Amino acid sequence: MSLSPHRIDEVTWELPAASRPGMRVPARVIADAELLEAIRGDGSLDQLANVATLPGIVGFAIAMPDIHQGYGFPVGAVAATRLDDGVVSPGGVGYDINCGVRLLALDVGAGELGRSLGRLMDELARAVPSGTGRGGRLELSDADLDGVLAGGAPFAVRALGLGEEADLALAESGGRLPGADPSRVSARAKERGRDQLGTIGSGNHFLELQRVERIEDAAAAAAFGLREGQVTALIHTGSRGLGHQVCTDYVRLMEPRLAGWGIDLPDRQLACAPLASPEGRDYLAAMAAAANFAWANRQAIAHRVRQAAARVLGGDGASLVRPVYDVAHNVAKVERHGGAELCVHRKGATRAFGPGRGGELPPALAAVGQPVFIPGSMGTASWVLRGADGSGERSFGSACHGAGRRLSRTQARKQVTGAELRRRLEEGGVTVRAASARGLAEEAPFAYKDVDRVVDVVDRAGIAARVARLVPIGVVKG
Amino acid sequence: MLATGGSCAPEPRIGKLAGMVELVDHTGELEMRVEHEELAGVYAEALGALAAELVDAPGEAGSRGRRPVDLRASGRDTLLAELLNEAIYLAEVAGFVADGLEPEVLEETRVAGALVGYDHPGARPVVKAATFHGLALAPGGRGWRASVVLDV
Repeated sequence: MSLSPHRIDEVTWELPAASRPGMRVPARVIADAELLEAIRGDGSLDQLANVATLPGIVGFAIAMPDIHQGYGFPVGAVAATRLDDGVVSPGGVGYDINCGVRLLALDVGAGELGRSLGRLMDELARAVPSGTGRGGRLELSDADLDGVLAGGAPFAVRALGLGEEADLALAESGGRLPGADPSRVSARAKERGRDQLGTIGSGNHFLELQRVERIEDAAAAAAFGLREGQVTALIHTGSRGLGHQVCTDYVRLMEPRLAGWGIDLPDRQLACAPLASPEGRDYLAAMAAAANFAWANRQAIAHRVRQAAARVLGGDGASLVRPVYDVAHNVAKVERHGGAELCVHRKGATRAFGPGRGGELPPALAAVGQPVFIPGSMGTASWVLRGADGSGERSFGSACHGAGRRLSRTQARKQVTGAELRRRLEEGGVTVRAASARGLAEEAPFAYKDVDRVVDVVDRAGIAARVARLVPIGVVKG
Repeated sequence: MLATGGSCAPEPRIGKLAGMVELVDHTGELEMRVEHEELAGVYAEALGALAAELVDAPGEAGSRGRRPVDLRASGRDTLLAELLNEAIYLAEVAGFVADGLEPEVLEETRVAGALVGYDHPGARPVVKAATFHGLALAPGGRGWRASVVLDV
């Protein structure tokens, strides 16, 4: 059955709960007409309707304008469930638990870099391993790995010396989810993560140097420490193989038990467990541990970026490279919305708290809202936004997480080779360091939606507002 | 032995004539559709197709080898996902690219024997997992027909 959402307002569309048997709440899509047409071209809406069948879901199953077909949940979706009779779904978080983005601001203008750009890119490519799953620079002892899982970025800074104390306030949840329990993480997951701290990985993960092309909100940009022409570094990675294995382990655990809980799902990858069950609690504890690994990973990479920048540009790394913020976009968190504690699943969606939730943000950010980062793709722009209070009403405090794929990886490879894409990017002023030519081609800029249009929609929807547009000058990819 | 993938000294694709693999790109994920006359052939073809996703340059492969495997699952389809996840794990932690299967025990809910394949220094961990989304393995087509979506 083809699903046809009706228009609620300029950028909101709704599938009523009666659209499909089993839907407990309506589904809503935040998009303009053109993006919606693209969204209707894959299986996203069917998957969103499936999400609306989850026990205990409240409000709406929500799609962001960058939504695309995934497995179980679509990528770019938000769903909140009640704690007492609702469920938590590992598929609603995804395999790359706490995949996210950290933005760093360098105290240097792009025009000042000159020939140092190539050297800096070489240093970054050496300092931040990408591509292969084996061999990071940090091989953790059992105790340190458990410390990372329980303690996240604060452990990375305080016990492993990977950064500055001041970094920690500038991360969602302070770079550490409470409730993490390393004993709920399997030995295999730990084995996969043991030597991956400080590594980017492959796929759509990257480390990008950018130039602040223009500022659209001077007050917010000042609060975030951004100015026109400045160089920024955007880190996009997550919990690597450790997180993948946690998801695999708990989907495997939950799927055969669904019938016993009286849960009937339209898609096995939506496998879930009651939040109040031991299985649900164990998953949340393991997921939090993987999320903490991801925050420690981005902290470690940020530390390496600092060291590389100091080697090339001189000076003190901590003053040369300052964190702007760090946000997760694959996570489930217990948050208060509408007066109730809910488990908010964000799969390919970013928390975007506005000033109204300033008490949950660092003091310097409370008045303007939480920084939100929307990476584009190599060769196109990325955006810095600020969370707006409309996100509380519309999307459980969430915004989109990227431009969203438009073409599959094979379609991208059919249109360009890695070598040709590298040539085009370098001609366009983007220095490329890529471990895999094939991987480079799969992430070609034209494989993604127009990031400016996606950002325009979330701005018009009142869930996040534009602050600054960034353009790439160098990219390290796996 | 059932082997389907390449290396510096590629093994013949023993199962090829009796089976086929179709890769269907979703926007973000990759669906693998496999048919084979034999159940073991489905597993081997799927491993071979996964191996092709994990390496950029098969010519750089090292020597062939075997890794013991003993997996249990709730059914044939979940066993397929378990096998692929085992191969993903081996590629990531050991740089071993499994492209075939030597089953000593092959039951509805268990496979034991060896994964066969090759060491590869550049195995890409681009595939995160074999998912349960649309997962199926049942009689059909040439004998057995399977579908599995990979998170990439």
